[in-house]
Amino acid sequence: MGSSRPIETTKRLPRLIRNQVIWSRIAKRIGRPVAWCTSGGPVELLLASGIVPFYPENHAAICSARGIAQGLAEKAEEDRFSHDLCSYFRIDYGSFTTGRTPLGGVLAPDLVLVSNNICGTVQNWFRVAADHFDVPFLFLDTPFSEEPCTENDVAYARDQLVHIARESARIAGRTFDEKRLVPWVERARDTVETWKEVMKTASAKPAPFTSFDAFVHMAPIVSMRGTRRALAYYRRLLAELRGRAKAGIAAVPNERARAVWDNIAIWPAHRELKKTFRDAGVALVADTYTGAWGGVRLDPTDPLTGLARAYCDVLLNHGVKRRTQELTGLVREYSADGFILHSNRSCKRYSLGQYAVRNTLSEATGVPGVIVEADMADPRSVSIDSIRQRLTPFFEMIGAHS
Amino acid sequence: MDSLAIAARDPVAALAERGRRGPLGIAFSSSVPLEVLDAFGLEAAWLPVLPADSTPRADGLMQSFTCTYTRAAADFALAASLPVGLVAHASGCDAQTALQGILLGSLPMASLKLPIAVAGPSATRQARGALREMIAAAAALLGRDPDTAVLSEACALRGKVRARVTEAFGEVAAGRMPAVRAYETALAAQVLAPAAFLDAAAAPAPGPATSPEGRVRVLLSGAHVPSVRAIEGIESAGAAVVLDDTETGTRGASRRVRADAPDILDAIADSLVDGMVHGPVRVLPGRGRIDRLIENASDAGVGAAVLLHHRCCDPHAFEAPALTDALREAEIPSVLIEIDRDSSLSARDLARVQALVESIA
Repeated sequence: MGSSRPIETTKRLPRLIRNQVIWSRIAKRIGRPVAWCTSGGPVELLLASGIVPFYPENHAAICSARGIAQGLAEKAEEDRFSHDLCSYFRIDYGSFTTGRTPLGGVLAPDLVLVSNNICGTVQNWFRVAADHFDVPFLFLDTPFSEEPCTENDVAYARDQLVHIARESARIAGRTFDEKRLVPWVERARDTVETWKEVMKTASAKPAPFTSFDAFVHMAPIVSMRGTRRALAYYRRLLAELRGRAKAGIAAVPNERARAVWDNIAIWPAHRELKKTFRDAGVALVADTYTGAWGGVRLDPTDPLTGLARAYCDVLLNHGVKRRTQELTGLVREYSADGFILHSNRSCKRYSLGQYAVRNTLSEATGVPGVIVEADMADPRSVSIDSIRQRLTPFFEMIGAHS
Repeated sequence: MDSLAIAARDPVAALAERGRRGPLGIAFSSSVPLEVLDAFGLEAAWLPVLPADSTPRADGLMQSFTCTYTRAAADFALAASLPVGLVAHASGCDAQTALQGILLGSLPMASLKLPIAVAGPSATRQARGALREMIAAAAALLGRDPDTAVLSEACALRGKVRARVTEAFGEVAAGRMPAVRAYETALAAQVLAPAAFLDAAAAPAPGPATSPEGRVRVLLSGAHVPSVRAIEGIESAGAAVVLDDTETGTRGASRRVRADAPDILDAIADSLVDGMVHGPVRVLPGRGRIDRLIENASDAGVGAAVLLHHRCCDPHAFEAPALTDALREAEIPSVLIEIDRDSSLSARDLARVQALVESIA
């Protein structure tokens, strides 16, 4: 049980994001280079060279949440990109080729920075963007592994980081200096640690914060990691959530059951799903998606090697075994009664293997799981009714009422 | 039909025959060096696309948005109808990448973490380290080290196999060999023991070479050719495949190992980075792949292109618009055929190829 009221810090988020967008545009106008960067890209190298990062994945999610995804995705399909390709790519492609965006105009890149530590799609997506804008394509190749990354992998990633650091500094008209990287890595590390603490507050009963909140509050950890404003934001959020946990303020009124989520949010149905869970008294207490940024371990004492290790070790750069371990840990740590695996047809890296994960995870934790089929961003592949049909019996199984 | 044609058309039977001689070493990618599996004493083969009308075992483990190659490969491995000693897998697309974890509990698997970006000295270092890591993992699973003397012999023999496949496609371009025969050669090379393959390939091809005269000369691009029947289908529509850009054909056979290298493992690793023609799954500087393809197509006097893609094959699907645009600029019209579980072209797809051919002829 517990009372419920909105998280106050949330009110600051739109302004934080708006300021980031405004700053990006001003920076572009005054001649600072803009880099399109993947969510798992080594943004610290860009920031240390004064380059402004922009995140097409976030942008695609915003387009989807604002209801303009379908038209943009259709533009990519008209241009002969298969409907089976990632919806974030198709939406982003539709946006940068038509100029349609909810952010008031496309922020053209001066370079793109890609790491395949989150999927193999981004290297193709960002290549298309780099060709479209005729800008340099910088790539961090992180060897995928079922097992922990090896020293050979780390050395390979470090070599590439040196190249990326030098190239991005050159594009920004500077010379790369590893010392200048240190404060950015320190702040990124502190931000990651604070974000981790934010997520941990959901282990309280009732949970003061759910993954539906985390899906929204994750924007700064992805796109402002390493900045003072992101760190300040999460410190404020953490203080509020700790207070809420102490006072027994629940994110879901009458919390009756707790569940863990795997995969990216279903943006076209975000609000409806949040309401479905709330009405059923189910708190989504943890997820592998927003939790992925909590798993990044940075080391300012040897910044480049630390970054190499951290970016190779991203959750999605590992397979079924690691993901099962991660989910098992979340189910136990957050006292979850069940888990939900979003089979996301846009994200093969995240979704393939979930059938195996479900079986192993249920055996390991003794709690039931359900797979819901949808898409992270393309509304044509999302049916809220079908999702509810899967969730209703699951909610009953875990002791909630829908 | 000779033994090449038989093996190409019934790869499972060919693998079963080899499985009677010893445990199979199955590679899920052309980027796995089969000579290493040979050196472990395995009956090594690179799995072609297997007939996949139904894949119940894989369907229980994978979503519908997995390509047929991956699904059929997983189903074959899980069927356990043949003695599989080791499955070797190389970094590649997301489906291939995921496969490793999906099958890990069911089969002995070793993974080769090749670089995706295949240029520069750091990529070479990664490949060398990754090959040694794969060999160590395989040795731990099999309980023995690879035989270094066998490795040298196998390396030479496998090199001859790939050279023979390359030659076959050269003969196709010169009009001395029908394309169907070249694809039979390529598919048979995947599953036959190297010595048996070379013996069979040394014999004169059965039947006369069919001249591409009077037919539209076609480039075939894609990942895995699903079967010889797919080629027969394309040619029945009035096309003559004279240039190949597939994993099954020239790309898979393109790897060259330096014979004079002081370290054979380094030489094998190097061949996987800069000693072969890469498909779109690897990142190359600039538009190298497409530019080379257009140049080859122009040199071969190609009049049209057939892009034969598996549904949900992301690397090829991403490349398709840029490739078709580049082909159009070179005045080479193209058609994209997307196949799913069928191992040959549907009537609708055949009609599309025919329409393309007729528009040119």
